[in-house]
Amino acid sequence: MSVGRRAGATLMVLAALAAGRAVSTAFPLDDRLDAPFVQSGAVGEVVELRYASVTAGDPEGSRRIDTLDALLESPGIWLVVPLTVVAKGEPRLLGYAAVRGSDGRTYRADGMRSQFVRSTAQPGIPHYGSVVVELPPSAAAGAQLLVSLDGGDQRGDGMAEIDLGITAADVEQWAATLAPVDVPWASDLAEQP
Amino acid sequence: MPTPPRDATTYRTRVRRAVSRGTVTRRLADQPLRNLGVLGAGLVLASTAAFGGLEPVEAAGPAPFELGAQVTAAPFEITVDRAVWVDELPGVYLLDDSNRWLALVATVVNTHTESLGYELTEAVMLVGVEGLLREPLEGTAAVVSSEQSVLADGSRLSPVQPGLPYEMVFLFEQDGSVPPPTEVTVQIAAHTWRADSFDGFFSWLDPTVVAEGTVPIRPAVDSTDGEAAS
Repeated sequence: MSVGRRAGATLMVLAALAAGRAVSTAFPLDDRLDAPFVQSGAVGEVVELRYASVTAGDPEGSRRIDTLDALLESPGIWLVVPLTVVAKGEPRLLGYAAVRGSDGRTYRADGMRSQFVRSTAQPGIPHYGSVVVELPPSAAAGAQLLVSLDGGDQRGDGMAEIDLGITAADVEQWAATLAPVDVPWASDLAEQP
Repeated sequence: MPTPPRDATTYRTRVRRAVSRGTVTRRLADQPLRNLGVLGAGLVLASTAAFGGLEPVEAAGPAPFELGAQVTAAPFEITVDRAVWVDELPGVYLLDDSNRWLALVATVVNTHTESLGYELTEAVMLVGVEGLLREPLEGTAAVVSSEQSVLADGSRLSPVQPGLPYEMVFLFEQDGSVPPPTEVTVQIAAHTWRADSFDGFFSWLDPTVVAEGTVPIRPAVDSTDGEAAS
């Protein structure tokens, strides 16, 4: 191969690499590819997702909660949000619940204190649980509840984003409340004994 | 027919011809490559020296740790107020009743934008304490706590929510047959927010000690009612 042909081939390879790089970076797709499919709603509204219908109830708040086995006190405030889940197609155990505060931070319910109280929901049968999260009072007004199927990876699947309708007056009252909010068992019964 | 003689023009001769327009360049071209390498290294050193490259390097190491002083150790702000030991605490259980807890009473704030968990365990360690039940971290003498509990209610601090000042205690279980220490060396470690080289997900990795110090430890005033914070 002559020197000229070799140089031409090299230039074409470099041009192809540059074109590929330009195409892959010209459009900011990464964030959109990583984002879940968000379905918005409000308290009392049914939010339809691929795998379930979810409905958040009116949140309650206090400095303290009474869980099944402990009385917990927060340096901020507790939010307790009732959640009704109706699974679609097959039994579902929802894996992710969090509150997005008005400060933009995400407060997950996945531990011993902040927790997602639920069990497996059977298709077509309402399952009643709750989302329990502690957060700073300054982040509570305007907070949103986030619910999704996969606990570790929310990309590419449906996510409920529910406006909890919390006002500054609610927060002020809850921050001064020491009477604990009861956190009920997860159940398929709407009213627990 | 005899083979024509190979072109006897050496590489060096060709270079000399190419640069024969100047005496200095010709002499440079006459030098062996080893000398040119030494000359290049000298030029690099001289240029970096102009910007402080030859100044003595200050030894990088952890800052002094003191009780009551806030340490910024991403993604936390950690203030250890006191160190005590206690025979028992409500809500947390020793592996053997004869053991004891060495407790670092602290205030912790998560400064990240999301809830955290394991990072807090890796953020506070004890070094060189005899009889701790947990094994030191690989390649170090540092031992992480067995439990992290909230003082107000004794619950395990999980998850650590952002922006909340938790008054809590790091608990290290010590063999009861070993005398309790009179002082302990505390290490505080910071993490780095970076993409995991395997899966590309961002998380807090690479705990690095940013503060270290030896502090006194004393028995709790009343170890029977869980007043580890006293």
